[in-house]
Amino acid sequence: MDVSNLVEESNDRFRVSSKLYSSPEIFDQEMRDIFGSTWVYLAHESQLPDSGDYITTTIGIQPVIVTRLEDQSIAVLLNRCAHRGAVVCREGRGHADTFRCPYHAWVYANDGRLVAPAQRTGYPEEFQSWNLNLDRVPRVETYRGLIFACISSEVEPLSQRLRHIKRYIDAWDDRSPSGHTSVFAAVQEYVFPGNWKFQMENGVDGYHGNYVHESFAKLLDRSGELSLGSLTRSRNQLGSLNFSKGFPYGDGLLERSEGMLGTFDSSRYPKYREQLKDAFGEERAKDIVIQRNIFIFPNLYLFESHIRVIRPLKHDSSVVEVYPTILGGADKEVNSARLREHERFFGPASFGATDDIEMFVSAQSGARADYFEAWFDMSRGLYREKLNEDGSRVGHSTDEVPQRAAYRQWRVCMTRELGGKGIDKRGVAS
Amino acid sequence: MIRSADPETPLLTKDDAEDLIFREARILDERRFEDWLDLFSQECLYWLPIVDVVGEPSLIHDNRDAMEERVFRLLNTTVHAQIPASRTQHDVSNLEVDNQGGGGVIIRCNQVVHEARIGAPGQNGLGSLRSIPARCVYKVVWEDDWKIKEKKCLLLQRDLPLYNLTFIF
Repeated sequence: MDVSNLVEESNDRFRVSSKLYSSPEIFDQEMRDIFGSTWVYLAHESQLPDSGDYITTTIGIQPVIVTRLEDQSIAVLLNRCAHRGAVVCREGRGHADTFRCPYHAWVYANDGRLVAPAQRTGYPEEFQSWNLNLDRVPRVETYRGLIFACISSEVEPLSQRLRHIKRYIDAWDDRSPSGHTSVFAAVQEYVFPGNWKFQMENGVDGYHGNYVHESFAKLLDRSGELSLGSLTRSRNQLGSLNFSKGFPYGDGLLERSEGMLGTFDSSRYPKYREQLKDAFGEERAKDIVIQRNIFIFPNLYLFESHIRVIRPLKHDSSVVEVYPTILGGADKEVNSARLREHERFFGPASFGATDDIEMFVSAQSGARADYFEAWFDMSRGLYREKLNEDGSRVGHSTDEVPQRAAYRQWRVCMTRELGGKGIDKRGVAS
Repeated sequence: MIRSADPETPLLTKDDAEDLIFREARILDERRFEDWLDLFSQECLYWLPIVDVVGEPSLIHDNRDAMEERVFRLLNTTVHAQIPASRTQHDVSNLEVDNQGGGGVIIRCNQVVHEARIGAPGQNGLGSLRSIPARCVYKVVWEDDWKIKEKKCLLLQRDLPLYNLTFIF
């Protein structure tokens, strides 16, 4: 399907068609052209500390096993028996050197090689050459503990893919004074009847906070943590140190030096601040503690308190996995305060994210009202966003800079087979 | 004859326990959230774990302050995830009393919270019934009346993807 006309951009207007959320056909194409052809985040290395450890997840909707091999490298296998298609692993995580298909007992090594089919004599001599192994995802690379994979081998190296956003990932990871960020065992997961891209758009949306999170702001006002007036002022201010940013490859950033709702305030822990200074120097430590929500297209968010993974299920159904992090080297007191603050704002019973999800669900219902031409408008601040030489763009923190960056990349991926028809070449990676 | 471990604490009978837990269920279903807070001791915990391990991330891990904040939010702020509000029905069963449980008096029971949000027809997230079962463990203390020290609810779906738990379980 030619979808190039479903993302429209002019000098000061930007909009995407309602079909991006409501069409099952577009969803299927996204699974192939986005999740099947670009780097996708899968897991954090701390989930697989030892060789033989594995977790199961999905790339788009394809079931995969992520496993650490004997030589400590990471392999990603499609979770599908080469015989008659049953998944060979049903657990969410565990430890195994081999996977045994429950259907006819074919056994695979954890690098995907078929060890033995049951009752081997039923197959001819040349069976060995049929190459009946588990499909192995060709590209797997890690950066700062983040494991990415790409189903297509025709993709740039991960370091090149991440080159614009790397320094922000580094700052995020360096919040651990000892350089060891890890995730807890428990994962907060939420499911909602809405398209995955609503979550993609929202984590770097600096426009909705005053309205969707008015309730949370009132809690801060009530507890004396922050007054309502000062919050609204800092949000609306021009020329402040708050920004929204967009990058080639669809990445985005919401940066609030003056603090982010629902985020652990490290200035209350002077010892922790000192540790960062000791580890990284004063200047670097200042950058590290800046509050940022980082989006890495298409499915990863790095928040102060957690790693967030978007898992699309259907055009109108999505799961989001939230992995709170532990900052190695920081006091227990710091990590437990971070966790409590996290639980207050994030998760399916929290005082913040639950109201965001309600917006995703509302927008999914609204996307059906398309009798007339229906668009989702993302023009805010386009006329004033600054385009840098490296292709990155910067705007006011309430502007829709990151959303536009994501949809430019969405269009690149989704029109690649058409030779990238209709692509805005300014600062867009193809 | 079973006696309580602490001589100052009277024995919690099954009738007492049912009275407390059924009353809590009714108070929550009538959305009398401030009355709900009164059922708890000053130092208390309202806990919905994901894994039943202290120190791991939870769905809810509210001390008294956070419980009061939760109630304040529901009663005095614009909670989008509660517009329209959840209608709930707490069904309680399998109730057992243990007067000599670890560190205090324990009530164990199963609860199913049936929940529906009634609103505009045909919109996602509204108009359907959800039934969310859990094993609940209450630690209670005698403070001239039985008060809840800790309410822990182990949802059957605790480590599955969940949707909108903004009502009080």
